[in-house]
Amino acid sequence: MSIWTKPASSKFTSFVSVVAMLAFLPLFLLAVYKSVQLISRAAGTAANIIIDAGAVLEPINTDFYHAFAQGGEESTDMLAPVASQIKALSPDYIRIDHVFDHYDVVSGSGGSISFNFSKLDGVIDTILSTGAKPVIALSYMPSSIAKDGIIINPPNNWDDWARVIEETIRHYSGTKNIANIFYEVWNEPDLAQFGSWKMGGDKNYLTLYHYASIGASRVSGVNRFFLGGPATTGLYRNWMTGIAGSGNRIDFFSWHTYLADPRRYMQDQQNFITWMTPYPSLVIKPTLITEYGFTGDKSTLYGTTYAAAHAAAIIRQLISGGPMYIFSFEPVDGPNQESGSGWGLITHPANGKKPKPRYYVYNFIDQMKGNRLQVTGEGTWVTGFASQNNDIRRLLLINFDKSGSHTENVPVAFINLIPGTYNWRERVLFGRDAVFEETANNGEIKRDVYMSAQTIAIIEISKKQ
Amino acid sequence: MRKTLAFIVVGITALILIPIIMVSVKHQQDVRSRAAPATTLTLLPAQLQKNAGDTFTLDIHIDTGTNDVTLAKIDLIFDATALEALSITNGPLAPRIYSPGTVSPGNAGISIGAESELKPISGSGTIAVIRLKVIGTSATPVSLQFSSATVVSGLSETINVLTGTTPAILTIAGGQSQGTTLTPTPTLTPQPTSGLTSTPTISPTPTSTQSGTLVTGLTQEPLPQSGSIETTLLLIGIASFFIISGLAISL
Repeated sequence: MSIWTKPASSKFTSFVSVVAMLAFLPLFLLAVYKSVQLISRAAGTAANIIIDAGAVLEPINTDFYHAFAQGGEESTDMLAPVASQIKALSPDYIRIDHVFDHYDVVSGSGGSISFNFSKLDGVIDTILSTGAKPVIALSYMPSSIAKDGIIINPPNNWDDWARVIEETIRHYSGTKNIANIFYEVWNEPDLAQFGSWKMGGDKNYLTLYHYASIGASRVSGVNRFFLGGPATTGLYRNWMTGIAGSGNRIDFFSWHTYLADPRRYMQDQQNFITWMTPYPSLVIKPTLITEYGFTGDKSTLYGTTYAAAHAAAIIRQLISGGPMYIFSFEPVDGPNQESGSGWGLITHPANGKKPKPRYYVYNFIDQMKGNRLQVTGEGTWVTGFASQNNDIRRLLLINFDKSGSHTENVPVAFINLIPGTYNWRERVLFGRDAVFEETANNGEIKRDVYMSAQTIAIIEISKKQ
Repeated sequence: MRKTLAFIVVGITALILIPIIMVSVKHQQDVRSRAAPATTLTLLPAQLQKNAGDTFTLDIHIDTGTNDVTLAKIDLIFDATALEALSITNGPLAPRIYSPGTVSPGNAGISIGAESELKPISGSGTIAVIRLKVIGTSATPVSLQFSSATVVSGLSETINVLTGTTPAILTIAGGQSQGTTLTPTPTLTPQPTSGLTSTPTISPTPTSTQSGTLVTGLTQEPLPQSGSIETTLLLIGIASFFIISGLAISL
């Protein structure tokens, strides 16, 4: 009888059972965990929106989301072909990176270092033509001064890096006479692709920043400019407190956020305030989210109303007490993204320069100008904020489901109104535009508003004369 | 001639040096006078009487004393059965909101502050306004007060510059029992006995190189909860069941 047909002993059977149980246990636990996750995701809180017309708060800032960050998928002026479409978004700032490796700015090193800004000037001029000011991510290391010629490495001589920063700032804030430029030290320094810089060690970001600030300190007699960073892939406490405690000049703090959960964006702001409270002169420095989106990966969802609703949900979370600017990534797709997975607001010129749904969100939300009104009753998926401008009260309502296609019938009530008859207008981005007449009984008007998946709507009420 | 020349040189030197010395001494005096927490927060009006169903506002009043305040993190607590916070927003003396106002049962908070370090909050005035509604009755006066999470940051200071707070006392008409009277009592904020390490440096330009020294003694907010205790226990329970069952079957 062979070993395969011989009856097993009870001890052997027990041993095999235990081993099999231990081997499959992790998989079983994972299956249960995922099931619990799915079940809990299905549960959430429906919204019951109440707008208090008597609770008038601070003026709403509709500028902070008119900022865009262009990636460097091509080493040419990617913005030029779509400049007019970008101009229509009334940008305040446009950010670019790869300034020292795409545009042949720096050649030589040490005593023979020289500068030619002509190619980069073209990109900056395109930015200015849209009405925006530039945010220049000082990146990456010019190959002529970098260790082993690798652009994500430190320089051979840190004084060369300081000199590059000095000449760049002198050129754009001085010679080109541009005021209020933000100079951001590096881009995503913590990412392996951009060098895996750390808060210490051989590739110490604080050293990179320090010599950049030395370069900045040598520039005088130019327009006001701002130096800051660290433009990390997320908000990290040790990076922020590291820079804060370094003693270097810092005019702003910056980071990127690629998260689908809108509430994390405000949580990050609050965390920043908490961490910076012991630094009284730095806690009130401007903050910039210099790139944001729902994912850092390419995704076809960037071409759908999912991306539009996500952007609107982020703007809602940051409408009060948010950063000075948040930069949507990115104005235009890179090449070869006909599958629709590009990050752009607009498709690549070779793909027709077509605006995607997210393109239309910013100007739509501009209608909310005015003083903020208190809103309560937001839900898990449906959120919003309200404003009053003269005699018109508006509610921006967003239905964003980061995981699925949730729909909801949302009760909306305006309270503390002057009694009378009101026009109630519902405008859905890419959808209906309907007007109803309502009477404020006991100072209240109430209607149910149907929000289909990933939608943005403005509810507007005005008293009839 | 020589004497005259000497007098002229001494006179010119004195004309140059005296203003320099005076400015330097004044700067040191200013620095010394700012080197101590001196800010107070008060709810105004400090005493008031309302009826059930009334809506009213309270001003959060600051007196910065000798401090130049950059940020105030306000956290108010009150009896959730008697009062409901409807909204909280910034006041005229605090032009910027750094963290939006939040209201919840028994709590309201907001972080507000100066426009920039070049224009800090100095003097006295209203930095925030809270709107409340009386939703219940109370036999004893109800107090609204600043919690220990309230922090005020001041330029050139390395510790919480808040030295005291004064709550508001609300009497709800109809619920007040005779003879019970409360007067708002200022609460002193405990100051750490050590922690002042950095040399105050005031720089009026954006090229400030003030070293940020991490400070002890400031209230740290609790970290947010991560994970779910219930889910973890459920998974452990299910796993244990299957392990024991499997062993029992195999044995």
